[in-house]
Amino acid sequence: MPLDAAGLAQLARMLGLSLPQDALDRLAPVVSKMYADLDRLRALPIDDRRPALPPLADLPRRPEKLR
Amino acid sequence: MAYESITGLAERLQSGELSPAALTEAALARIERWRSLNAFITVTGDLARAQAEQTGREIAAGHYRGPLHGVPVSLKDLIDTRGIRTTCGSRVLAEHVPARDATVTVRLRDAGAVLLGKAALHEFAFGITNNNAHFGPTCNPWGLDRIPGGSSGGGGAAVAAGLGAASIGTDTGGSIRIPAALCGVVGLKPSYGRVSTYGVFPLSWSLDHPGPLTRTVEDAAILLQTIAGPDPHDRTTLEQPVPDFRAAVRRDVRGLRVGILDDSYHRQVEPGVGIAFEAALEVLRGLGLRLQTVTLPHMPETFAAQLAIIQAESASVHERWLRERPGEYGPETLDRLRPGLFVTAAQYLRAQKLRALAFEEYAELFQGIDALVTPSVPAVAPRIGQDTIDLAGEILETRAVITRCSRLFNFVGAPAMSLPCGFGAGGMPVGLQIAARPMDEETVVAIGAAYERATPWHTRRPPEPE
Repeated sequence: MPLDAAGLAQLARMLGLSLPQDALDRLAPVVSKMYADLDRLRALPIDDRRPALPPLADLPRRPEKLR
Repeated sequence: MAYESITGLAERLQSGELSPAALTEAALARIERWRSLNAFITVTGDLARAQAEQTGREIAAGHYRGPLHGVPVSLKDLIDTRGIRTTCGSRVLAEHVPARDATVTVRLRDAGAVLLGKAALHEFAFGITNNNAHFGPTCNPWGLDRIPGGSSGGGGAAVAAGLGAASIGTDTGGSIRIPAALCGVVGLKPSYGRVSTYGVFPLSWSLDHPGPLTRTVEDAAILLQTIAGPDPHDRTTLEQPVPDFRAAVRRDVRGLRVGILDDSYHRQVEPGVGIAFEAALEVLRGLGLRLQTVTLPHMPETFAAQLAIIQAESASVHERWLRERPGEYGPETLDRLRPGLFVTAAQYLRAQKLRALAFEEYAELFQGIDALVTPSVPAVAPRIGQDTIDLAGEILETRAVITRCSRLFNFVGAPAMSLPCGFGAGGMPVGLQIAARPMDEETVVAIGAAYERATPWHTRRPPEPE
């Protein structure tokens, strides 16, 4: 369900954020779209993966990290 | 002299034919002459003159340090310089004077480079126009009513206008390659882990990459050689030997397999960009490269994950100021930063899990190729204040268009370079992007240098100011 400005205001209060109404109006569709896009990631085969942190690709010779 | 390459300048400086002092004075005079560009936030004239005198004495005494000795350069104004104001392009840090140098600052100084100043940027590097609410817009030297691209737009404009030989920028979704493309210069985003980010103000820790903007590929190789390598201050730098990037300039590229990303993100471009790109592909074929179209799966999901990561990480960087000093941000930056406050930990980690998948898919793609080529940016530089771009009849938001070809390579930490490949609508520059496997900058440099030798685009200069 899309997040509207009232819903975002509720979230903001839970996070201890004080946002003016005009900001809530502008941000609500942005956050709503972000949530919808991130929901779609759940359809991909990533459940069993470890997050790529730090984001270093595997290399032919796996590098030693600095301590 | 203003447009001479670092390799050319180095010969003259080492032989004594040219002094660092004369070179630096000429660069400072050009900065003044091109004041209309608004390419610098701070010009360090006194420091530059002192460094030029010092390096001149060292060279005369036979203590030549290498190709950057006595060469004037600039740094994006989010790279720490001890004792020199570093604003990040924001009122939030308008009076911030760091007590330390960034690692890239130290490495350039150790190489004998002369610091001309701190280049303008999009506020906190969170944008691609360089329309800065606090310091004013930076202009493109090819058309003063056009953006230079960003967020390293001051560096791109400066290098294109001959205001110093090179600049160091940072790239989180294209912020080196975009200004390079729109200003007609070379921009090289190295692999993640190749160059230290210590002392570089973060936009997004896991996507930020410092790298050079120059006028030739060989100059980019020289800059990368200087700033690359492990850094005990930055645990994400890799303890791998730094290859001889300059040697890669002469490497034979015949037979290399090059993929052309065949999806709407990388192929839907303005007509002029499309013509320049297709011509570039012909040049690459003529150089003996074996071209083939390729695809990567999950591109929309990749971009969604990347955006969420930038949002979450940047909001974390700025959280205290967003709560306590929101009025000191430009309105656009504030609206960009705030959504990240609403990304949950589970969503952020989901995006990083997708990134692990993207690494695998990118590596799998490279089983069959050695490099990828795409247009660097699907459109030429839009006008300052232009919010949308018409791309093949579709009206799209400017930022989404400008970053669509570059951002993938930040997500997978792979090296990617933009270099000039022609001109599009309005006589504005077009860039060709070359990317490779993580930690294989040599292939990027080799193909870029071969293309550059075969084409005249890197020799074209913007008109001088009236």
